[in-house]
Amino acid sequence: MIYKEVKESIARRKLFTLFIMIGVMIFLTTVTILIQSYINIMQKEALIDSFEGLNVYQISDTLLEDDDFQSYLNEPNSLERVKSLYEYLEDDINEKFIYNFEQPIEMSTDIDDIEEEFLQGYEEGNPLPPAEDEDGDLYYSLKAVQLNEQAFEMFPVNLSEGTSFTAEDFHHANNPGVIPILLGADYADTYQIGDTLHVNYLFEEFHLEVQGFVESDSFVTSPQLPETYLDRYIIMPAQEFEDPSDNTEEEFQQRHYFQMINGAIYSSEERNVVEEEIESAKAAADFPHFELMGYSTTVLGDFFDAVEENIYWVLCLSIVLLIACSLSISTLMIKKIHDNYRNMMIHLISGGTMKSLFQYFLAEVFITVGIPGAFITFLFMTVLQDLPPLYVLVMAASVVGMILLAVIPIYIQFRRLTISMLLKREE
Amino acid sequence: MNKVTITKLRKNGTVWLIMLYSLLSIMMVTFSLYQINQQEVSILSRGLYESNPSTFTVTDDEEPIDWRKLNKDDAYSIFVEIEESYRGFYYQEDTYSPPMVSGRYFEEEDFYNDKQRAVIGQSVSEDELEQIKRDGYEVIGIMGGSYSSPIDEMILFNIDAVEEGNPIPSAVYVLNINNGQLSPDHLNFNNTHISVDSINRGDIGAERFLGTENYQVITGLFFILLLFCLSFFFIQYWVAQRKIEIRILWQLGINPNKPYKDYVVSLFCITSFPYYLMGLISFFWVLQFSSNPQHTSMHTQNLLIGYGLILFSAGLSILLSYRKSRKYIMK
Amino acid sequence: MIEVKDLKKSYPFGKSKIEVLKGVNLAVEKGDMIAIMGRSGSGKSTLLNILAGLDQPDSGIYLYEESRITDKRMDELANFRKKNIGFILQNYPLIDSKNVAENVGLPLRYSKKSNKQRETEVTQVLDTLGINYLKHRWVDMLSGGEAQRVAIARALVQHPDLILADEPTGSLDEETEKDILDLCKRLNHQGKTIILVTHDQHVAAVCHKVYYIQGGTVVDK
Repeated sequence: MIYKEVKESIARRKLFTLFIMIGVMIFLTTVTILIQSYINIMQKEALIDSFEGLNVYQISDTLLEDDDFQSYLNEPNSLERVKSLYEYLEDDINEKFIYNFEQPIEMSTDIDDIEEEFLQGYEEGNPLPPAEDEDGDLYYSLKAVQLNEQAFEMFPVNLSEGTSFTAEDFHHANNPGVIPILLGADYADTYQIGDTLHVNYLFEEFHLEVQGFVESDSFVTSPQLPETYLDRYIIMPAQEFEDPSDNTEEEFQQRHYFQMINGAIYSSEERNVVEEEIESAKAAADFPHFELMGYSTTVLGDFFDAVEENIYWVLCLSIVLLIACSLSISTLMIKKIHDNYRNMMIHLISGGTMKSLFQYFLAEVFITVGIPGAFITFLFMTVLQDLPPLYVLVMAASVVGMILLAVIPIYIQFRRLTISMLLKREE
Repeated sequence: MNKVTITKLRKNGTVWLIMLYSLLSIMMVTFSLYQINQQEVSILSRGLYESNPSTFTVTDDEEPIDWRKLNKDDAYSIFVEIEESYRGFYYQEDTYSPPMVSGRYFEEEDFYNDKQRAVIGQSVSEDELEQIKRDGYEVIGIMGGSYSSPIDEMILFNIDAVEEGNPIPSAVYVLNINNGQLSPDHLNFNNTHISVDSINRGDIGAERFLGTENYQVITGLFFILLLFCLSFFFIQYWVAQRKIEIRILWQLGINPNKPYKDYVVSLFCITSFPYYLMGLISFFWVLQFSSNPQHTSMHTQNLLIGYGLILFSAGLSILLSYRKSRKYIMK
Repeated sequence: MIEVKDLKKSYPFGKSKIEVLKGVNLAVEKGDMIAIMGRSGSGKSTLLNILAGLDQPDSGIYLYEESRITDKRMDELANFRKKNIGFILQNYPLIDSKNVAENVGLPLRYSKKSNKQRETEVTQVLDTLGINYLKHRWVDMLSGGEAQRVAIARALVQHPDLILADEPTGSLDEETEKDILDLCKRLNHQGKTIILVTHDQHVAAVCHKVYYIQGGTVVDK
């Protein structure tokens, strides 16, 4: 009986029922987009969450003059002590030690037309031209970044394809002469997983084996370069090496390790606490030529502020839309039902009660608002499969809100209305 | 307004309609503020660059350049990257003005007038500020928003002071043009052209990481659709309530043209009054509380577009109702 | 005043047609008060609608003051109606959101008269019908009889020469019906031509002539 009455009522004002349903659908679609936007921002924020509230302290060796550097190298166990310092920073220090260094790689290739975007200096307007060795081989200077294990875990560097770095990849002994690498998203058209690049890194020859591609817009940060998007980069693990077998190797490792200790400490602690940690590291490694530089900034402060601003405005707009549209659609619903008052007297004289009339109206509101609401929710849950349960909750709350905003005023009116008033002549 | 008038307005649906259009006006105001602020976050996070600027180096760096003579029909701004956070700057006609902490941003009189002007970010150190002054620059403004961004560390100079007539060798130039992009290999000036090497840097800034711009576009499109549809429906409803009046008037010999003309005037007032009210309130709010003077003009522009959309949808709705009722009457 | 010759009117019904008027001939003199009677569905209201210019016949001639109405366009018919016809309907439709004075003055809103003139005319016509006391009342607060009087007042405010009434007392009690019929007689004495459509013998009895619609044509009873 209710269904029949509601169907008739809807059919009587088909056009306006359609208007309300279309309005509900467009409104809920807009809400869905805003929810998606919010989810996207929160997901991105989660990627950099670990940086929130951290300061970055640049650390560096103090052997800046060549004489001092050479003098140190002549000391006994100079390499072991630098290695020891690096190991302490990597494994034993109580703070996060992040090594993120841009070191161009000289790659020899028979591809004579490497895209300029991959070359070191391209974004600065000075792409380095290829160098030619005695044999006539061309060496291109490609953009590359080295990350230690902590950096790789901490930065939002996710893979789109392939295998990520494991702990073994940060130790060169496991595969001598070969360094596993990941490539930025823009390399996807040039190389495949399993390809090998022949390179010169710090004057030493290596084979770089492609084991994956990182997602587009992955980035790393450092005090010098707050944002480095990795799409055009080669990503290398900062590898630890076994004891050198000869002088050549020893010289390479000296260059490599002296580079690696110039990283940064990410910490929420005050400067003096971090300085104490550095002192412990120096003592443990017997390497005194090392200090905290006078430089600390909030990590990714700009990013976090941008996130906050985005969230704020998305929420503002969402709340205003929810309230304004719910009220608008409910008002249309109330007016539509008011137009039906004249038919109510026919029901009343035919044996209906005010209670049954209210049930018809309630059912009509439910159908007019609930069906498009359910449809849109179901549609987007099917199309956008990564929507969280929160989405259903918000949509349900919106629909219920609209229904209540329509039903409550009608209910209040019904309570005040007397049958005699309804039976009075209506136009 | 006495009780009788209010009752009449309530009975004929005017009160409902004013309330509904007030809600639409609030929606439009909020959307405008959302859009302005999102735009600001976007541009500030890129260090004042547009999302897709033309980036290049000048290959003919022996040729003097007067950026005023660049053949562009649209407004444009040009930056030259001198050092890490030092840039030369010039604009023609119009440019995005960042929020200012104090002082002012560049104006046209600051360029090619034998002046040395600088605008610095709010986090620039005292030492750097002193150095700039020692170099002969007058700091005319300090820029910065309520949240941190790359502009906080930035120092801008008028481009003619840093170039001194010739382009800076190997420096990167970034050109923001309102519409369109640069030709890949040359710039046209009044009587000549300069060879350039284009650089494709891709997008930069926090917005690239967050990837919110696509969502903003789609949200905007659906918002416009929502505004249009709701306005259209409201008017359909309001006019439908006057069906009997139109029928009675027709029976009395009054052509529907006449009452519809009255409705158009009534609807214009009903849709406009709450919109003007909300618009004015929001305008003064933005004027008072926004740190960016450009926000008031952007907000006004948005409000005008919203107003046009509301009037258009209402007009279309009433036109369709009129045609429907004429057809119904003529049948 | 009115001459109708061989008027025919049919309505579509699915793929076929229902012929309602099959050749109506009628002549009404100025100052007449006539009743048109007939069973439900006989075409009384259809004939009245054509006489009011609300509808056009399929064929036949309708002359009003020797002017051929059947050739007019709908806009011209509206104008003809405005100047000459006062129409009273059975269900006396009034506009809920307006009070009595506003309902009565509705047709005057689109005339060139000033507000004051309009107000005067409304007051006059309400006085004539003895319902001036209802001037500011909302129409949804009126009784049936009061509402019918207001509808009549609206029909009279433009001083039409011809009044067409479709079952004007259909839903009224006996006493109110008498009042309405007395009013009609008074208007007729003032020179108005009145055509009443009714199925009620008592209503027909007050008229000078009674016609009967039967088989799609009008016969003089």
